[in-house]
Amino acid sequence: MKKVFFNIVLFLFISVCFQASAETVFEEELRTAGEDDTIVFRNYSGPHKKIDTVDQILGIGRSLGAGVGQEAGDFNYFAKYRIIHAVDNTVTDALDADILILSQEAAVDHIVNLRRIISGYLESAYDYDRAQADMLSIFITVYNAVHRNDIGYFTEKYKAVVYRNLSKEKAGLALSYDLWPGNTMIVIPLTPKAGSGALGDLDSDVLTEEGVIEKLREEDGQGIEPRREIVELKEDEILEERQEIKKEREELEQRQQELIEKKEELEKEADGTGKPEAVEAVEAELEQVAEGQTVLDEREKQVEKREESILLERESIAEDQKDEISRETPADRADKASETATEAPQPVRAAKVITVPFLKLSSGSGGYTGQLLLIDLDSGKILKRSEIDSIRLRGYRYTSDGILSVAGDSGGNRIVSIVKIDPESLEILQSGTVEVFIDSAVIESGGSYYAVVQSDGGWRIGIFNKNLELKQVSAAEVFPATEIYLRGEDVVVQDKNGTVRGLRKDDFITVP
Amino acid sequence: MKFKRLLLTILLFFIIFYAAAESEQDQQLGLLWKYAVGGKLTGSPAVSKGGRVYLYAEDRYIHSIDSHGRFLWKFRLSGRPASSLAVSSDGSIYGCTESGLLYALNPAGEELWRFDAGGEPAGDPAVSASGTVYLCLVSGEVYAVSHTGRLRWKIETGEKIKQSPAVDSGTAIYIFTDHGGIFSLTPWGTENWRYLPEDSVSYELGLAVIHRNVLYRGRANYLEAVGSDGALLWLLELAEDCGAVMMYKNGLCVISISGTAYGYNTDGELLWVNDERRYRGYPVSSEQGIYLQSGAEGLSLLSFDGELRAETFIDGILSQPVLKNRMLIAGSEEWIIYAFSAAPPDCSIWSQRGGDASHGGRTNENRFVFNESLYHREIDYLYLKTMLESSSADDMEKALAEIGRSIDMKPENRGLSYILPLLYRAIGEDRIPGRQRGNIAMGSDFPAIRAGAADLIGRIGDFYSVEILTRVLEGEADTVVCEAIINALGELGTNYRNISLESVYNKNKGHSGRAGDYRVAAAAVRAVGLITDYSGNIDSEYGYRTLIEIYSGNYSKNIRESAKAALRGMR
Repeated sequence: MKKVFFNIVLFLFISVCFQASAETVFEEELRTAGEDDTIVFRNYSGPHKKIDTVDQILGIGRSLGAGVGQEAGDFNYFAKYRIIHAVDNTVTDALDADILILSQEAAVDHIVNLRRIISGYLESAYDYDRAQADMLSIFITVYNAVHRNDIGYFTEKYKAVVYRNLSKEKAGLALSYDLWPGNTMIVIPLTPKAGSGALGDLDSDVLTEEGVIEKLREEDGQGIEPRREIVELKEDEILEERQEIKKEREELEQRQQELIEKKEELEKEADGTGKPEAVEAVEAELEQVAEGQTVLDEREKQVEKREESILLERESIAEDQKDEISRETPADRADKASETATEAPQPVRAAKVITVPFLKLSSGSGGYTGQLLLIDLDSGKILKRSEIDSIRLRGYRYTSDGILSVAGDSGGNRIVSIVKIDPESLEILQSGTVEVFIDSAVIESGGSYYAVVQSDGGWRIGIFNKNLELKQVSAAEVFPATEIYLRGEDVVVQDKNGTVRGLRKDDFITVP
Repeated sequence: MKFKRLLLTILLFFIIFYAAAESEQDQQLGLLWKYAVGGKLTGSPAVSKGGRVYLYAEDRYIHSIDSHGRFLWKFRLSGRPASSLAVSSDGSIYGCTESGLLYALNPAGEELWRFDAGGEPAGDPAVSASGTVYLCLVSGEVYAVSHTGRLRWKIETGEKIKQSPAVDSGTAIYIFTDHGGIFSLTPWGTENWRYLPEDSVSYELGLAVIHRNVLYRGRANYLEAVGSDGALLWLLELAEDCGAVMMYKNGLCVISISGTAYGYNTDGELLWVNDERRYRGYPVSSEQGIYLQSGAEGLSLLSFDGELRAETFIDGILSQPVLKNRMLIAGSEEWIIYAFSAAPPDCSIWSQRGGDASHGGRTNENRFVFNESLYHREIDYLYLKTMLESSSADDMEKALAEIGRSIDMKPENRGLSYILPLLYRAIGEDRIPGRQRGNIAMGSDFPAIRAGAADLIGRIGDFYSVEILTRVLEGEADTVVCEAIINALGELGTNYRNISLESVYNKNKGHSGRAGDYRVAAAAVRAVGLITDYSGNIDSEYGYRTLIEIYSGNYSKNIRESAKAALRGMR
């Protein structure tokens, strides 16, 4: 009896412990969902009305940059994207900039595509090669996210020609794609060299200010790759600057020598009655040369200072890279294991992983949407997350072809449609291009999918084939949020008045 | 008996099995470790005899890591690094900046000296077995700098140079000009011969290799063999331009610029072709095959018949690897250094690359033999020789003074080939068993002369001088000469082959209390300090022992205190 009692107590104790640990796991998960201050861009992942190719997206930027020169200007792309090339050569104590404005009609909804637009722009406006432009676009987006709504910063750092075009509400880049259209002014810092054809059009030092680097270091992989690439770009800029200084110095030295010789000749020719005007003119020019040399000395000092800061960044990257290596090498893992060997032994987990799918919801401007997670109940770990995070509230269904769901968002190039998701990888297998009701039910039967679509000004039941092409629609209109139930050949729905009724095979019209 | 035979068979089986398994493992190119630095490597890594890995990276640092990829030290340079590092046989590390500033570090990462060549270096510095560092500038100058940082000589070739010098220690230094010319120089900077091809076209070229006194190299679309007298032995026209040439067990491995690997024998006959991958860089020869960079991110092992045996891939483009012990080490564009398990290097082959950290010398260190007949008409030489061979102390002193003046007034005279041999004889080299030279026994009876010669050797000597000095010291009884020799060893700094400190120790052991010993002891304390500083206090056991011997010996308080202070100074 005692033994039974003991077992019950033990069972209850273990159950409580398990529950407690499971709760902890889910709380941790909730905390990493982007509520802290790391830069995690929220992108739309779901069906689109039209899929643009990479070249088409780059083309938007290239088109915007085609007209940019050394003079100030304003350029736009079909009133969706606009560039203000805000430069003012009369002011020297602050920065010029390009301002990329996303209008209300801008359809970009993924940070990768936004970066492609910027990248295309940099290629065309400033002749950066593709790799450099891609890398700079990463820094530009993070920089603008760091300074979102920070009008004080922009006012202090940039020329009036720049900040007068900015507004507090729109300056910088929001983290969520749904806040981008009509609400974004991306500031691209420029150097006085911008548009001159020399390296260093963009101010790479401003783009890599401490706050930006810190945010990149918080990312997976600590942003090592772009940080490494921008250091190499900066080194090239320095090399070019040094060559320029050297060339200018040689020219000045040559001029100085010529002037000294000229002065000596003039003094010889003079009769000794006083300093001739010509000699004074030469002396004045010599002074100018000396001033020019002082300016070059100052530039040289600036280059050295910049070089020092690059070396510090190199060291920081090397340390972070070592950190990454130490996480991945088996030798280090073994070392770690030996270090922790004295700790309390961990309970042995079951070898077989039992996973459950879970729809994690979050609220956005378009209502509640969800992301599928695969959770290992035993360890409480989230094994996978679907890329798609716009699964609508009616959830998902397992079918023979994968997980069937209604997902997406309206606005821009986005639509709500049927998507098929791989149940193991949680990757999107297919997404439809026909808009379905935002809270439509979706079911599979006999190799077809049923969902509520808009047709002829009303909501009707649509029948899709396996390729998510709409084949038939019901003649009768239905209540858009209706349940769809199949019984034999009958489709049971709520009609537009809310009455439950059955639709027969001949109640459907083939879509031409 | 049967049981023994069975046991023997089983043992043999296991030996063969493990040998095969090990050989298989060698070929797998398994990753051993990774290490991150703050920039791309500017050349290939360098590995010392002791297995320390030195890296020269764009982050302006020379990094030192151990053979397990663990950090040892790093040293900051004043400018952008150029090309690769070179490591001397005494462990010193040499690296040059883009502006031509040559740095010398000891194995502890401390700066020994820097020498400003004042121009853009052509390739890497190379170190001869005697410790002399050779550096070419793109503008055509060639510098020879002693291991103590003194200029030995400098010549102007009058032609642009693109490539690192090649040092066939003891016999020749090869300089490769932009237009295909080869200058063969003696270690003293005089010309042996020059080879100027008929079609003097500028070319991108693979490094040269020397095998049995024949120099092979690729030049544009030619593979050529040049004899030890500078005469062209054969010239082979290739289907395309040559990217690199390297020696391997069966002959020459040539990589074309399009990435095909070819095997030729030393007569220029084609043995095999491998175009399975796009090979690049310089092949590295091992006991089991040839390692090659393949594609953008791969490393391959070819058999001696040119068959692809193994390969591995990494994320990022690899730089030129080096092979040392059983490790193939290369940097990547991603600022990461990779070490792979590999077969041991083929040490019988001389090459400018592939594990020879000196970037020059033969692995078997040929000695330069002083050829007296070359100078029988040179007045300066004859004068000095005559004076030193006379039995007059005055004449000998005059000769030494003349040498000293000559060195002071003309630094390049430090490189004169006959000065060191004359000084060796003046110090009493002839007393060393096996080194007697006929009936000349200069200086044997003149301790002041021997001491004076030792002093001069300390100012201009090289690694071989250390050998001479230590051997003379061994049999030397005169305390003045011993003191001078020990001082000279201190001036030369290097603990070459670990003999300097041992020799100083042996000289001091058990000698305390006798008249004159205190001078030797004082010199020893100073020399131990200089040598341990120079070598970064590595392999300094005899240094400690010397100082302890002196500290605990029957010397004056001053000497004992100086030994104590020196002991404290040693880390």
